[in-house]
Amino acid sequence: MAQVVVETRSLTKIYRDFWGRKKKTALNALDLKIYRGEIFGLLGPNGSGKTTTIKLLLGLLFPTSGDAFVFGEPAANVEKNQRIGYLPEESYLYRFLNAEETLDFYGRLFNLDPEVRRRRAAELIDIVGLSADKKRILKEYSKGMRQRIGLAQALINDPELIILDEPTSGLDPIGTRWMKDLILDLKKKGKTVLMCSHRLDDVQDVCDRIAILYNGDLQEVGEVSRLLADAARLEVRASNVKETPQLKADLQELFRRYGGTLESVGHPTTTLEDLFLRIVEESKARPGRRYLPPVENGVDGNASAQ
Amino acid sequence: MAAITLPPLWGILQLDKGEPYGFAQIPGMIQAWIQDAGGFAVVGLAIYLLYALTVPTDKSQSERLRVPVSRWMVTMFSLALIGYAVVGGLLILQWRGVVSLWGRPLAPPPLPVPEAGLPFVLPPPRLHFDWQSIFLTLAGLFALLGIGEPFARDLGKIVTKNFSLGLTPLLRYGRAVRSWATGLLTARQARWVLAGLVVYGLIGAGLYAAEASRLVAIWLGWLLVGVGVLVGALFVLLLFEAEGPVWAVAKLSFKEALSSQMLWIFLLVLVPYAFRNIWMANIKPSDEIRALIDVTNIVLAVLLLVPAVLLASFYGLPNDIKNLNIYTTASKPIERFELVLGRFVGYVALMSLVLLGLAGVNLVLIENTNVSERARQETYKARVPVRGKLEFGSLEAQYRREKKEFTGENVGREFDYRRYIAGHPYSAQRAIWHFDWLPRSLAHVPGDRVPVEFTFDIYRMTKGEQNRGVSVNFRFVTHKALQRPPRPNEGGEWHWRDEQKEREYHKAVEQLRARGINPDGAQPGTPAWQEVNRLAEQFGFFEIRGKEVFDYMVMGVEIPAGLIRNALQDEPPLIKGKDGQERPAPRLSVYVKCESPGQMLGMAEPDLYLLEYEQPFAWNYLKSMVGYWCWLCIVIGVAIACGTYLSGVLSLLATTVIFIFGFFPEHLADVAYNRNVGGGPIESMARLLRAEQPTTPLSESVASRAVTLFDRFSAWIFRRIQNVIPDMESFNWSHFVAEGFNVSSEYLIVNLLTTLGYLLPWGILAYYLIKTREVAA
Repeated sequence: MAQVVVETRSLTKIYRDFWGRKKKTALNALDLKIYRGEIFGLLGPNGSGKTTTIKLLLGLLFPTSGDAFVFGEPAANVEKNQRIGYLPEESYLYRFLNAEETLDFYGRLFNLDPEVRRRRAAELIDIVGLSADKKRILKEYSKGMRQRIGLAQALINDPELIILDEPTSGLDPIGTRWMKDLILDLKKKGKTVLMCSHRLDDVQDVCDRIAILYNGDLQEVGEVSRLLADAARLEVRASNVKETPQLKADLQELFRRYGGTLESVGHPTTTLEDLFLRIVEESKARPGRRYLPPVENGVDGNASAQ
Repeated sequence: MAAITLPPLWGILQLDKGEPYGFAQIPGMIQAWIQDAGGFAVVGLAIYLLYALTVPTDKSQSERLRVPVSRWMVTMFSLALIGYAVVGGLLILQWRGVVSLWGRPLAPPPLPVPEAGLPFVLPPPRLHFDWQSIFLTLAGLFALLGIGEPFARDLGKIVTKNFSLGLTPLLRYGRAVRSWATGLLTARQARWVLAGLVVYGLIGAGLYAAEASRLVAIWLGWLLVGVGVLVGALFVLLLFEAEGPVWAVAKLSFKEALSSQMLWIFLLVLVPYAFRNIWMANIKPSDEIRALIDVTNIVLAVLLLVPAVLLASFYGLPNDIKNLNIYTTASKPIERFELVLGRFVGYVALMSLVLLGLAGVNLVLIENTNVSERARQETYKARVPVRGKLEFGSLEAQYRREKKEFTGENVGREFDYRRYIAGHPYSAQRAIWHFDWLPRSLAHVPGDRVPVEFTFDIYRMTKGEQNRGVSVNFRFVTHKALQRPPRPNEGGEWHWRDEQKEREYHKAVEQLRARGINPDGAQPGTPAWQEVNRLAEQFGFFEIRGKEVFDYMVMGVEIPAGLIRNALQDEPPLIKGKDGQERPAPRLSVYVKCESPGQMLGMAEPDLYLLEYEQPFAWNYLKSMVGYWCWLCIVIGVAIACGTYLSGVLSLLATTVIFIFGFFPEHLADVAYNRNVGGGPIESMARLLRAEQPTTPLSESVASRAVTLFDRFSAWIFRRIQNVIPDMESFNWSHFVAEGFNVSSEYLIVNLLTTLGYLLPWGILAYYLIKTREVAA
């Protein structure tokens, strides 16, 4: 059994006003376990309690009842933060610092050795692709750049647990893909990732397990593949076959023999993200040319256009 | 000490609030601090324990860790409550008329009631050993120990984490310098600085070529100040390069303040410096330096404190919380109080550099401004005085047909700081300064002459002589030539208690006169002075007659050092004081008599002193900046502590109110003790609504009684508030510098201790507020 990294026990948070009157139950008796090495996604619409859960784990909020543990330590213990990296929803960094200074500052908060700090800062600036802009102050950065440097500060201490709140917020599709690849890469390195997002495709792409929250209540938790699997349906894919009425009739006959019903026959669609990335890659490779989609039989439209 | 916001009225150091506190007052101050801070601590502890009851510490490990309630805290709280309960019991006994228990008084002596119209001046703090003081101190101490336990524990952790010497100082310094170059200044800013330096160099070369010597001196002085600030900045950076989050946050605050550009905008206030000659218009020549110091120090205070409080209120924690930067800092493995400490260190360090620079700029200006020679003589020094205790003497009460002894005349001036003696050859009225202690260094001074300086106020009953002062006699006697007041048939002269010795003295004087030596006219450095010195050493007596004294002018006489040698010999005999108690006679006494008829001579205790030695003015000026530094720490500390809970605007308001109230402690004391004319706030309002004069007595009615009762309660509230308001004027040494008096290191150490004592409770408050605050709510 993998080691539990994050555990909540009946974790509840009720927001109250100055006079102690109840305003909203942000989280209601949340029981959750996150294991070492997995990418765990917290899903839910706005106001469902995702960010509240993260803030409770980091000790930025205090529970109304229940308990939260990270690495077996109570959430209020600041020492546990030594092993955590946190990227907030917006990259709340000091805008008068440049990238190097930002990472140096956060490294010092972890009491990292100066040499380690410098080395890691240089590596991370390279990883997040800000080498050319490392001397510019953050005020001059775009939202996507701030998100990248925010991620770098979350990784400055080489954390075991990385908490990402809406990590793809503000990123363009290339940045989003880059972020998702990075998250998968972190998993490969044995890190545990807790991310929350309301962009379902992001979660689906990277998460091993997810929890779905709604109005502070935990609705569902489990492995993504299990939750998404539709046992009542069967998908068959084929290539180099032309769609004809005869093919449809034959397939209908085949499935009837096995007690099933053919629902549809057609061409699968790609995702918009894949399409966008392909266009950008193509544009990079052939500057000045218009992108043409692939024609039938798998022939590249661009190739045929030449 | 008088308020310094305007040029002083007179050219003499006024200590109308008494001598500043020194080492002798520290035990009393500590006791008062424990009682005051302990009172707040027990309230804070009660609130904290109640808060702990509202969080689920029984079920949640996190909450148990976050809101710890140890057995120690509960025990200390209980002991404190017992202590306060005992004090309550003592108050009931006191109310029933019990004065003492087991030979020990029940309560401290009541505060002295000042005469009508005079400000309420608290007596200097001293240790009290009555039952009430003992139990108040114990209860306060227990409360402080209780509330301070988590604070001390976390502070210990913080100190361990932030004070390590892992790297050699040299390496750290090297990195610091490199970091300065790369971190604090961008390449563009560095180019601007370089260009500025070149321009400054060219200006200097131009001034030198034009042979403008005074301007070259100012140019050079400011260059030195710049170098000093740079060295200071490098030292600060060296400090910030130390390992630990506190230093990281301090450096962040430093950079944030520099990048905010607010400081640079405030430099516009420097413009009035260019017109400093205007400040000296219509001012007596002798007051020129005083006016210069006063105005430059006001500008300095504005330039220093306004940015400090704005930075600490708006750019500190409230800004972090508002901009949500706190998410990324508070989620790191640091104690939240480290953020508070770091902010404090950063802002204090930055503003200390500003203070250093401004003080240097001011000093260069003061030193190079063209002022009158008289002003230079009076002010451009730092006198180290030996002060005595002033009392007034005349015929004994029985001979004057009065019940009380003479305490000086009141001439009806509104500012009743000085008391007066009547001038006449037959007047028995004397102002007498008693010196119980004398420094041994005065016994062996070059030339055997000890300067005595004085400044008196002359109140003229008649016109007197045009452009002439009044004639004053000074009699200096040691404990070996004790004096007594004259009897009714003896005229106005005071006599020796030992008549035989008096005869011997007069005989010796006659012998001198026979040798052609006039003791009255002997000048230091002459053979006659040697004889006078020998005589003074032999008899312990020296007299100067007919010294012409002018109104409010710093003047001086010289006395032979032999007199001091005589005073330091043997133990003084016991004599009976005015209160009937026996105590050692003073080693030296100075009797001042006004000879001019119809003229009143006014004096206060600081008006006459022996001059021990003088220190350089510049060093004294820089020492006085310690008081401003304490102001700086107080405003920044209070603003940051408020900012842990309040928004930027509110914390700015709270700090400003506390700081401004700190300049009016007397008025606050009047309200706190229900002494102000027109009653407390409710009575004042009632009078306003009824259009009644403040001086008319309140009519007897139920409503009036209710109003009085409310005001008593409001006075109680104000007495508590009084403990939160620091006496800001006690940190202001401009008056000492402007009058050319040394600011004693003793006063400055007390200032620093007071600042620490004041900020510590604010620090504990900030610790609890930031620890229990949901920063992401």
